[in-house]
Amino acid sequence: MISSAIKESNPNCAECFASLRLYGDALIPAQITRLFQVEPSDSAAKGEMSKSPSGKSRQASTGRWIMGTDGKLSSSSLEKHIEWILDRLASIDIKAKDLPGVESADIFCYWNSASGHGGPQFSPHLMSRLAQNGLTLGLDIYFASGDF
Amino acid sequence: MAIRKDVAIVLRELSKKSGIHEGDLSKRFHQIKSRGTTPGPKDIDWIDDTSGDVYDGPSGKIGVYIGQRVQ
Repeated sequence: MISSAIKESNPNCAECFASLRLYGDALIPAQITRLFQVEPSDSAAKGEMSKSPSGKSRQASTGRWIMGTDGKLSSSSLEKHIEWILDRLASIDIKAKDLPGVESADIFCYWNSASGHGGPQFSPHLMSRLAQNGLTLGLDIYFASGDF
Repeated sequence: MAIRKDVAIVLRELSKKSGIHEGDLSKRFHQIKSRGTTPGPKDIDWIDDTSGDVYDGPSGKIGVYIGQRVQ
């Protein structure tokens, strides 16, 4: 019998994390931070400038607020990372797209392979929660762990 | 110096040159592309094979590899 249970760990994963990404021209990062009571991994208001070490400047084309699980969880189960984000959303009882100033929202995940094959797995329960929140799920996959 | 879209190869080259683990570089690349105007998994992002700066396109706006917030 094939188990459909999501395991706590995934030996095919070297490292993974998930990020909730909120974008919008009217998004005010401090306002979102206040709601979540969690500091973002990255944020900028529309028009804010950033500069590279080489001196090149870049202006944020829209507002953004990104909250990642990197450094918060060490699980190799990507499901656990996404659940952490969904739990934060549930705790404030607001759907991502209903947050002030938010025009688009998604969950974007980093997944680095440990074995050169396999991948993340998601339960129907998790996918249901994503759908209820209207969140697109994106996977950014790398094979950067060296020789397999 | 060239801005290239064969990101996996460039990350491997930069890792060899810098001594930084390729996994750390890929994670950084992922985080930077999230800030761009083409931040999705279906978008092609570009990378400078010398500085590691990340671009939305071959001549597009830069996403910074090791960013520094200014006023």
